[in-house]
Amino acid sequence: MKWLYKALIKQGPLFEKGGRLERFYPLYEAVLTIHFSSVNTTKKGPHIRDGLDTKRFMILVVLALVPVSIFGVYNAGFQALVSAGKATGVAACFIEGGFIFFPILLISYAVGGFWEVLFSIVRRHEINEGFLVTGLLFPLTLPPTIPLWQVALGISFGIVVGKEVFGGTGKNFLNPALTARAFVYFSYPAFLSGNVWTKWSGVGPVSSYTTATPLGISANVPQGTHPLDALKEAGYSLWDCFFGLIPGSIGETSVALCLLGAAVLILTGVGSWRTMVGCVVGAVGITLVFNAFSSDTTLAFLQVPPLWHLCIGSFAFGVVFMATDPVSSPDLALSKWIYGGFIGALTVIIRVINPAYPEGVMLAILLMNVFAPLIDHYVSEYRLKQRMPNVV
Amino acid sequence: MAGNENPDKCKADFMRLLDSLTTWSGSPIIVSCGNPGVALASTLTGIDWMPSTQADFIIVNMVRSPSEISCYLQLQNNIIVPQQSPMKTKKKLSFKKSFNLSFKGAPAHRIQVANPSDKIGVVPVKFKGLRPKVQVSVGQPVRRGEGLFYDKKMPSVQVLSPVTGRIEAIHYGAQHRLECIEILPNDVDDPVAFESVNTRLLSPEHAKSVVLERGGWVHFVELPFHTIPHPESNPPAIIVRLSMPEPFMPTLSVVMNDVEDYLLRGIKLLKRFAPHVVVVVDANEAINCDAISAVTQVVRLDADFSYFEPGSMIYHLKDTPIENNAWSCDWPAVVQLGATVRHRQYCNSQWVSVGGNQADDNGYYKVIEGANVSSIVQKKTVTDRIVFGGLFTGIHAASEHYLPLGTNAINIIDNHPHPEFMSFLQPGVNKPSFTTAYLSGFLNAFKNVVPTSALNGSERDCVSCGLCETVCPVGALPQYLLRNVKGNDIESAMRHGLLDCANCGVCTYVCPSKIDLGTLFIDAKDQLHNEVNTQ
Repeated sequence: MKWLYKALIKQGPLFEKGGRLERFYPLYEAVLTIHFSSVNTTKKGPHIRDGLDTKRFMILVVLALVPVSIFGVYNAGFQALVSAGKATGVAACFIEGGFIFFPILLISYAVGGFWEVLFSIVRRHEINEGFLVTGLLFPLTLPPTIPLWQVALGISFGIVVGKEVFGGTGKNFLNPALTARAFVYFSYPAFLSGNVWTKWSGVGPVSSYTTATPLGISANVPQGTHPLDALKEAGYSLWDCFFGLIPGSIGETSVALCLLGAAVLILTGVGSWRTMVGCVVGAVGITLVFNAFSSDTTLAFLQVPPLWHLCIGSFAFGVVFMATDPVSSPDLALSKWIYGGFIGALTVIIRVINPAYPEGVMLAILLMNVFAPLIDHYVSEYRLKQRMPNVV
Repeated sequence: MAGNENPDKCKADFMRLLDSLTTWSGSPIIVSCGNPGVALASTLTGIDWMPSTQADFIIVNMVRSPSEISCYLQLQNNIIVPQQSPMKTKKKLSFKKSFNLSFKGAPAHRIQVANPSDKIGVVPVKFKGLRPKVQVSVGQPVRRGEGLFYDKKMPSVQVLSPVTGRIEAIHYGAQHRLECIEILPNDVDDPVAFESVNTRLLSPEHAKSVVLERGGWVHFVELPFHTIPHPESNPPAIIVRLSMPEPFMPTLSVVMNDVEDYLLRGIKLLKRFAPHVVVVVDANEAINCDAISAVTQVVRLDADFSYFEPGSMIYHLKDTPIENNAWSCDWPAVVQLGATVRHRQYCNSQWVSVGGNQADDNGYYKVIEGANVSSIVQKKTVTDRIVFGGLFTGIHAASEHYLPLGTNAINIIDNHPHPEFMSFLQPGVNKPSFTTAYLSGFLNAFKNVVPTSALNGSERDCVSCGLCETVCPVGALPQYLLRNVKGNDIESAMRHGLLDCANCGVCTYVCPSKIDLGTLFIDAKDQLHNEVNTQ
């Protein structure tokens, strides 16, 4: 690979200070550092540095997302073929799913990358690898039926308003991918409200087909019916929801693979296990309270047991990949427990109490993103009380 | 005794307390003054300063603000029963090791005598806050132990000539700041003879003047700004480091047999004017401290190297905020002081450890202070970097000709990183990292990795990953300090522990965004120090 390095280095003077393409230095820097590790050295201070950098940090998240994404492609294809009444061979599923997923992914990366590059050139900062994660997370939260122009609009909003106007990755207070999804969700509710989830890309009489997701079923159970009966009637078992071969957003359906992703994030130290466990504790806790107060005369959704809540909807996906975003979540260990607990509890509350929003996890995380600095503030004030003052 | 509302009443209370304590104990009281507390010091002159060897001093530290007076008055129980406080009694401390790294190139445990240096260079780069006023001129002969320069603000703080010879050249840097005094040594050594002192009978003032006269004062570091303390101030405590586990600093156990006598003398001298000397030893280092523990308190510390920084030590040992102004000094300086007192002439020999990736000449060298670096060690390639001091806190000197005063280690590391193709995608079996982001973290393969100066990435904004917080030895939140310092909110930064920061540099090491937190904090503290001192 020496030739490539030499070729890249040869172009360096064009982009450096005084060069003809000086403005585009961030672009050059990004291309160079994606291909080759940085040759920067320390100037003073600690003369040696750790091997971990933000590129590795972000790429590990992408790595953790790979199983979910692959399964998402398969599942999107599978659901489309089932609803179209075609044979569901593995290859056929992947091909069909690929036709659904990759245009979305491509648009997401292209449009998101465009904004990232534009801002980095105008504001003269390096292109941050954070958008590699955002650009992949966003498509995974979308239903296969999403129109591509909505993907472009959504990712633009997420990157620009959710991140860049505040100064780029590290200075945003909201999760950009969730901001993007929230934008699409509230602007075009017809496409994300919970029921139109499968898509058939082929030419034929069926171009899109309506199936209800487990979450949609639970939220719409009439009073007096047990939601588990309704789910059973619709053909969903707990294992189906756990393994995820069910209709839903592209990346969210498989709890098992989200757990695999969680393992990768926790083992590599990228994602906070405190946040994840906090979320689960919060969700289970509030569900038990709901179960205790539920009867035939209350909302039917109150009767859904904790395990089902953890397995349906995008709870697992949101908790593992969205809530753990280090930038928008609080910094301190205790804050992470509080933050996670509130996300879990709010998710279930929004799901159950407010039938207009069957998917609560997105709103819960965004809401807690806003509160993260406040939680940190009080936790750090508490810590400071134990600290002996050292002032002049 | 609330004193906040009325400073005058507070002073009166304070004086009454001193009176009552003197009558009660019958033993003398030492009032040690914090640095900026000069305003109250004048009202306290007339206090009995007479020390006694029968111990049981009552230490009343000078305080700086009415609120601190009241805080201290409330602590009068502690004053009467000082044995209760951990600062005075701790024998062993251990902390969880969060930063367990080992690097290749530790100095071999063999002592060699370096080649004689043809010229000697006195480089005062390590002494923070020292403003040298040169008192010699080019061509002038000097004797070993004669003053070369002193500090403009504290004229009694001086640096002595390590050899007898002739001043060859004086180099000044930016703003006419002294960079180096080159001396051509004579063949015949003619040291200045100091008067003989009996450390047992010295008064605190006399003990200080002995240290000042013999050029040892510049090696004291006063916290929290890591500056040279004012000779008229008194230390609430002195931390003496016998172990410096930072990679790679000289280990006392290698030379202990040669220096134990000097070390004891040095510590005894410090004890004359510092009522409280704490000796810190690595629990994993084989040093026999029996003789030292008979003289003063010895703390065995089992922790990461960052905990051995004086700032971290005082953070974990202090009982009151007054001890934030403790002093520190390392064993080589104490040994030099002891030797100077013992032989009644300036001791110019020191040990220097050589580490890094130069396996063949790694080891300990006995050299003359300010020796030519090339007489000790050679760079193997032009891109090598010479670090004076440890790999974390050492200096990258612009001129690499002479060993700067007060440095006891030379580390040579590779300064020429090789670009790797798509390195962030590789499993990273050999990637140096204390995290588990690479396979090396799981295979425990990151032992004995060759240290290089590679940044391993490029600078980005803080992503709040929280790694810095997990390694900080003083429990500060570096990411908060970063925000406070960048936002120029020094008040908040201090509340979060900016002044506790021990300058260990570990937060900078671990930062995946490659933010130079350590330098940022040091600069902020320097700025704060200047503001406080010019007021």
